[in-house]
Amino acid sequence: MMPVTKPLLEIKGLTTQFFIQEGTVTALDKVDLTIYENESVGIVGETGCGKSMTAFSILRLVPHPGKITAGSIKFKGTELTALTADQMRGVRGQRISMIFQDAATALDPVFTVGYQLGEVISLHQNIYDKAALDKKSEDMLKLVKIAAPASVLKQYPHELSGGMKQRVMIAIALSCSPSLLIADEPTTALDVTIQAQILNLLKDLVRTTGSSMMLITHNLGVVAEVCDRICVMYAGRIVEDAETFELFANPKHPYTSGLLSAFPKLGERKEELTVIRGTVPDLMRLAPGCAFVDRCDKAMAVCRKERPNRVEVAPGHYVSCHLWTGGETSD
Amino acid sequence: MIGVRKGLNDKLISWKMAGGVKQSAADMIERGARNKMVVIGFTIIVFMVLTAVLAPVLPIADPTEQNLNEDELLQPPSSENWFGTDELGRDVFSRVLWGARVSLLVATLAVLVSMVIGIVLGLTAGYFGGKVDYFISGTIDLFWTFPPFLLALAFAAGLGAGLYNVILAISISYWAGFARLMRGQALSMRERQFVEASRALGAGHLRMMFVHVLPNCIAPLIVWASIGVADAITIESSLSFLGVGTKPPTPSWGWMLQSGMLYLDGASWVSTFPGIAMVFTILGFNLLGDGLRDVLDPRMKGLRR
Repeated sequence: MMPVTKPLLEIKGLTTQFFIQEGTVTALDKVDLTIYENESVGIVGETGCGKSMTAFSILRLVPHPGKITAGSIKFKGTELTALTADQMRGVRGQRISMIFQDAATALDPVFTVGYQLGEVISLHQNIYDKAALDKKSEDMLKLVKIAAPASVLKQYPHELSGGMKQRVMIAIALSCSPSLLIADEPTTALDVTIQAQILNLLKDLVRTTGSSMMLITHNLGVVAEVCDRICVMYAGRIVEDAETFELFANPKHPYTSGLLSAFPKLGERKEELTVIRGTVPDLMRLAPGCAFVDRCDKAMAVCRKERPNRVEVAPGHYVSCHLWTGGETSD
Repeated sequence: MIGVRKGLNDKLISWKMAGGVKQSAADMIERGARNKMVVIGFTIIVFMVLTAVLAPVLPIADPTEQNLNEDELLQPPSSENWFGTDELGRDVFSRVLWGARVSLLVATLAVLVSMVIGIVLGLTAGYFGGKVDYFISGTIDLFWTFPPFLLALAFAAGLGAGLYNVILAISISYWAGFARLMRGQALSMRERQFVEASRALGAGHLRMMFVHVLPNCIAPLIVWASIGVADAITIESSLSFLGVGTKPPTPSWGWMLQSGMLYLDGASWVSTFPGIAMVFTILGFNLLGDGLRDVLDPRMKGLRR
């Protein structure tokens, strides 16, 4: 079904913790994630489950007092956690790029669009000639389908609409043809019609430039539209990882099924939306078992004692749940 | 009341539609030109700067030339000596003009030096935070504890009189204000997403500090600098007045005030005219600073005048 390609990014056992006065917060707990070349992977989960932290960990931008405490991040065979700060700077923006949630705040208000595009290009490609930079910047704006790119180059961010700003952000992120584009909720700040345009744009660009994309969102509709594969995160762990169609058709983890049934469907009349009962556990005091156990309808005795291993329930469909870890754990 | 509230709301909305926080340079100049305080302050400053720059080529008397004839000493203003003459028969008008040179030079250089020190230290402290901030902030607070004038007086007395020593003394006592302002600005600015974004796109610390944080903090610094020049003129004159500023016979307003004090009774013009020039200049810089604060502060846009 999917062409066999090389893995671009291989994350194994990634653990990121925050050391605060009250204790240690485990934001990412042994995350395993592989992104292949020319693939779009969606990371889905609720607020605070570690979606954005995964992105920041990959770029080694975990804010203080957080630290990557274990695990490996291999990018094209290079171990990112072992790079020096200088080498890491060369990776950011050039090989792995990131788009932020709110382009209005992610663009520097005192510089023109042209300056900000040119800055990244000259930073990584050592082009300092003004005309060449402008030419390249203009091409990038054309790529993200901005009409009249030459005049937009001279404009300040506040003169652009929300959708335009996000397009500019995408142009900046793609200007050095990165192999991996991380989009952290790129459409949250936009209205629905613009959302669709931006998503289609991202989809097209990823396809035409041959890069991979990691799309972080809490919107299942968004991932369904764009991504080849979806990883569901819960409390800093990846609980299910499957191809988009497979995940929507056969969700295996109770949390995933909960999420899907909570998603209202068009044309369905419902007085109240289905919810998952309970709340997210405190990341500072995680019990040894499965993190979802307190909210799970199918919880068993073993779920409280042991953390479930990741098992492949179908080709390319991984789930971390005791329901599927084998006969010996269920009763 | 309701009418007023509605008008205010409309203006707020139009401000938001105009793009909110950031304005283009042309827009800013246009709004500056509409602000009376800015226009008056700027005019005064341009006038003073012109006199200071042109003093050597203007057809006026030599400010240091003494004329010890009995009938030339302490003469009241006349068509020949517009501001009269002082106790050594020197032309007060010419000395006031030359005094502008010294005052403006000292004040501008002192503010520039303290601004550079303040920006570098404040930016470093605010941007990096943590131990660096702790150390620099401690130093800032130490200097901030003393009134700038007292500190300048102590340093000027220690360094001895002279133009460059005065500049140094004022800079040492004045940088803490800039540093504090800059630190606070940097502290809030470094949390902004565009700084994070530029980091995610591969920018280093220096680039983020000076290319992304600093330009976004520049507006309050300009205001502070403008008012700072006025302060520095006062400090310089006070130091000269107390005899630890510029050395005579360099014409300085403070020194002139002091020497004229003895003759206030019969020949008030000796200290009155330098005093007026000083007040006028300081007023100019204060007006400009106040006006700029309004112009550069987006919340004020369209709400006043």
